Amino acid sequence: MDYLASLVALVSIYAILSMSLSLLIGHLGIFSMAHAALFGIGAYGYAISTTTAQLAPLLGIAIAVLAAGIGGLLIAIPALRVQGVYFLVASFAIQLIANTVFDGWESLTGGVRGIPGVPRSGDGIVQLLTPGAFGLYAAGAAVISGFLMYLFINTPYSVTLHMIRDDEHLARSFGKPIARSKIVVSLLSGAFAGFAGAIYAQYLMYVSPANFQLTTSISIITMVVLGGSRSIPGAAIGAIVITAFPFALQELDIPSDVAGPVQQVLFGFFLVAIMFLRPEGMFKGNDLRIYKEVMK
Amino acid sequence: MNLTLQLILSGAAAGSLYALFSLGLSFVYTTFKHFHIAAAASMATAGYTAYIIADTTDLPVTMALAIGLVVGIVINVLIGTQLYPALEKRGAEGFVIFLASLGAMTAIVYLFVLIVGSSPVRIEQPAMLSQRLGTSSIGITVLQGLAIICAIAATLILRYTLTSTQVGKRILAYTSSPNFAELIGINTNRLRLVTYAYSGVLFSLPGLYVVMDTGITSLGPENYFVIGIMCTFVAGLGNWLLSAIIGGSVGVIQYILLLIVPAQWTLAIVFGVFLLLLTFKTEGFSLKAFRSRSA
Repeated sequence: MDYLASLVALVSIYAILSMSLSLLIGHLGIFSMAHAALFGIGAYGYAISTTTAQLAPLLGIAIAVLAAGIGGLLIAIPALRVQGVYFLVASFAIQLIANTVFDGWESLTGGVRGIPGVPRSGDGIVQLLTPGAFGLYAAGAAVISGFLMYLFINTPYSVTLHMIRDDEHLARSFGKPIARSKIVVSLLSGAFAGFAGAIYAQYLMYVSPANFQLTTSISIITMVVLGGSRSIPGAAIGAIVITAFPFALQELDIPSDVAGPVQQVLFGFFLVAIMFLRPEGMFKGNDLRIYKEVMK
Repeated sequence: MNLTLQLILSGAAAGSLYALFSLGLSFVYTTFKHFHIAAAASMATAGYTAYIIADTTDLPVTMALAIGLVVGIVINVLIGTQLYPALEKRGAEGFVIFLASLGAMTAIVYLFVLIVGSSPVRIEQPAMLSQRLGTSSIGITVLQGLAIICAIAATLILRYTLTSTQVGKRILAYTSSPNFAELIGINTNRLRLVTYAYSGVLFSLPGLYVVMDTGITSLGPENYFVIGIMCTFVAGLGNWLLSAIIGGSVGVIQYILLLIVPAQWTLAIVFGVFLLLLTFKTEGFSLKAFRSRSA
């Protein structure tokens, strides 16, 4: 039962992360390789505020969301000036700078040793010390986050986003607020990634740079692409498939030092196969329906 | 003073590996517009294959390195001539090609991690390559010298090929207008083969260097790719010569920064400068050069 609760918690965390990236990729057309950096900012934000600064967990989550939201805003700066592959290259740089900060700023992040003893809420009304309670809490957080993101992309405002995604020049000629839209979505995407990071820090009760590297960004992109970058439920389902996979490997009694590389090899094959079989992912999203409703 | 000179020399050796990678990525992107992150797989394949052969057979190290080079090139050619065209036939372009390349890179690199483990693996350098050239306080090893020579030679060979050979002129024709090149009967498949074979050499050589120097890991090739692709875009698309020069300079700057900041921050500073250039000088340097030539 604890095992299942742990799986639910991890799937929920990655579902929030995957859905938040789908806002950027699928709805604004910003292809970012730096999402693990925002995830890391959230996790470190929570860990530092609750261990070093001894703040309450709820305040720690707020700080994590705020810090990653600001991180998202910083990512929006290059996105305001460059598009397409130029932004992709810039996002690689952002990810690697974040890696260096997580690794190198030892006095703040603990360096490669990381930050142990990250607390969960253990007193008051919210008791998260048991795996079952934590699984429920993470699942609830994922459902609420997913619902909020779903509401956001089902507003008429999403037509503006999709126009920017499909043709930024056309959107500009229609007087659409491109800069504001990019800032808003980057902020939201970063904030949700930070929220996922905070729950992840609570889940592991430990934070280290190894969890927020480029390979994590690749895993998140695989989730989004598998589920369908234009569909919020699709991105969540992609996260469920990809996150549950290592647990399935554990069931096969594959040693952990083998399971990690096996998982990465299969993720790689997944990506190639998806690009051949269904590049739009399992779910295509409902852009057209919203567009038709707005145009009525 | 001696320390500074030594850092410049060591930086030039490291930079020559970045230069090779930048040159290859710039060549591929300029010609086919493929965001070829699987270049990192070619590098990893060369290094890991050389290690596996040296570790499991009685073949001399030089033979293991030669086999590693060939296998690294073959992987690059297979990706460039089989995977990408198959996707393009289905109408794929841009990010779909990039994601497939990312998938191929991940699968190949971790296949080797599965075989040899996640710790860095290293081949003992042949004695000849570890000999030191220069004085006791300033100098480089033969291996480092070879890396610098390889980078310069690779740049000159590419320049000669593109400007003075038939295949090079066809590549340039294809680069400027793919549809027109196909219309006049230029064999695209042959151009792909040449481009990916040559770039395969450029990606594999750093893999062989690293496996004899610090040892190769799953994460190393990705960093080379990121530096290489940033040099390509900062130089300006199509300016492969400048991208190689910038790649070489990155190594030197990274080492000189050691005089001012702790080692762990040097790469972050380099990436930060790249990020600023990519954001605020989006056309790279090539357009400026072109404008000044036009004037």
